[in-house]
Order: sequence, then C-alpha cells, then structure tokens
Amino acid sequence: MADRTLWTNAIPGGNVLWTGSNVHNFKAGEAITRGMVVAIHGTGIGWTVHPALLGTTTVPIGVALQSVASGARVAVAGLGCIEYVQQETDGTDLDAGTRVVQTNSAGFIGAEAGADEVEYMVGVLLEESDASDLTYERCLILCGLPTQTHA
Amino acid sequence: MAPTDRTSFPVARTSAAVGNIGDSLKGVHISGNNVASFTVGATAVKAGQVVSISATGLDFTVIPCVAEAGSQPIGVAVTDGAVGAKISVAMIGCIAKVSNYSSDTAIDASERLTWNDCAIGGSVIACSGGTTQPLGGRALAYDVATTLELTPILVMCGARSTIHA
Repeated sequence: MADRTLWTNAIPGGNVLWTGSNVHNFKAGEAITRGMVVAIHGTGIGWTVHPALLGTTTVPIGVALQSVASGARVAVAGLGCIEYVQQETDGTDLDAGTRVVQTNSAGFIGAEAGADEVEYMVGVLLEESDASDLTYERCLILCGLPTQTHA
Repeated sequence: MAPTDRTSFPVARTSAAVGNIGDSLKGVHISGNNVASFTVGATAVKAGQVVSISATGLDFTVIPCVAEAGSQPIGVAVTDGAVGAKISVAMIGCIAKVSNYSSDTAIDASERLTWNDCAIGGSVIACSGGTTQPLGGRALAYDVATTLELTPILVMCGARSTIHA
C-alpha cells in the first residue's frame, strides 16, 4: 500500500463541485490543485489556505475548485456541498458512509481513526472508493465540524 | 414509567394540502437548498424519516435510520420512496420535519437529537448525557409527543453529539 501522489486523475464530469452553493474565496498560501482539501495553516494566516496536511495545517475549510499558484485567489466549496475528493492510498478501499478526515498526504482524505479520536473532519463519503482505481469519489463536505470533542 | 415507542410513522401532509409559503415537498422540507438525490435501499422510505447509509455502505443509497454500528445518518427524506426509487434528502443546514420516536415523551426546542431503535424507523430521540452519538439535528420547536406529528429540526447529520466533561 502506497500513498497516492497524483492529482492528474480524471474527475467524472470534469467538475470538482457536484452540488451545493456554499463557495467562498480564499488566498492560496502555496500552489493548490483542484480537488485538494484545503485548510488554514497552523500559523494561522487570515483567509489563506493550504493543501490540508496533518500536523501542518489546522481546520480544513473545504475543497479547492480550481488549480492556482501560490498567492492567487482560489474558490473553495465548503460545508454542505457534495464534491469529488481523492483518498490518500492506493491500497485501502473505503465504503460509502465512511467518515473521512485530513491525512499526512497533502490534500488527500483518509478514514477517521475512530469515534474517540480527535481529528480534523472533512466529510462523509457517499460512494465507495476503490483504492486501486485511483479515482475521485463524491463526499458530503463537513469541514469545520469536530470528529469528536474532548472527553 | 418508561417512554412508549410510536407504532407508526406520522403521515406527512399530502401535496394537495401544501399551500403555505415556505412549505414544500409534502410539508417536510421547510427551508434550505442543501438537498440531493439518493436511491432507496432495502427498506422503503417515508417523507420525514432520517435516512442513513447502511453499514454495508452502498453508493448514494439510503435506508430509514435506525441505530446501527457502522451506519451513517445523511439527512431527512423530503419525499416518499419505494425500494429502488430516487428520493430527495435535505442535508446539513436545512430545516426539515422529523418524527419523535415516542408517543408520550416530549422533545424540547433546542435539544440535540440522535438515532434510536424504534421500529417505525427514521425517528429521533434526545441525546443522552456524555454518550457519543451521531447527531441528527437540533430541535427547533417543542414537540408534544402525544400529538403524533412531525416536528421541525435544524438538520445536522454528519456531526456527532459532543462530550464535554
């Protein structure tokens, strides 16, 4: 099982956003590829997003709808939208209904560790991710919600 | 005295009876545009039922939500649907009407609501204390259980109830 690295896989229909209108404008803190989950950096720069990366960024905001260079404006679709995302590995299938979170592969999603773990929520997969197919899958975006608050 | 489960799911208003501004789709969907289409899985769905992706995880397929490890509540059905049919589901951020699981235990406005094992399927119960539970929504009105009607909630499916020690 290896981490995926490519963002050149085809998105069905060509659009990251499948449905929803909750789209906002942010500044790219580094180069961003469409389909990446993006998040506010741990250093907390206002209205600036980076590819979501566990340990580097904090709260995911949504999914980038376009590819942009560092410093450019980027449209980000957030909470409540259904968007195409890509999981981090080529070896672990994820079922529809899986709650997915930020990972240590920039912009990719992975299954949450468990109900008792505090992680940065991205959403709920609405269709199966067959890992070896290297495809994008539709996900109900729930960025901003905690997977769990502290006990 | 232990609460009594409802024995049938409340009937949403028929299309012919819908006429008030803000009401639509059998009166279940109150407001919000975060509505998407899903396929009904192994069990028919009634408007007003909270629906979930089952633990077996079929793509874009929902069933009436009953407490089940591994399943994931997605939203509130705003149309009826037979097995295999397409239905519209109001998701997080919408306001929609759902059914209390009980015929004699009221739900207060603002209470956090979760799934349960009532046989009518797709009904809600108030969250209990410090238990981690999937959140269906937040009650927006006082539900008098004995009227056996639907009650409006802010849909929050996908979130979990919070534990705060």
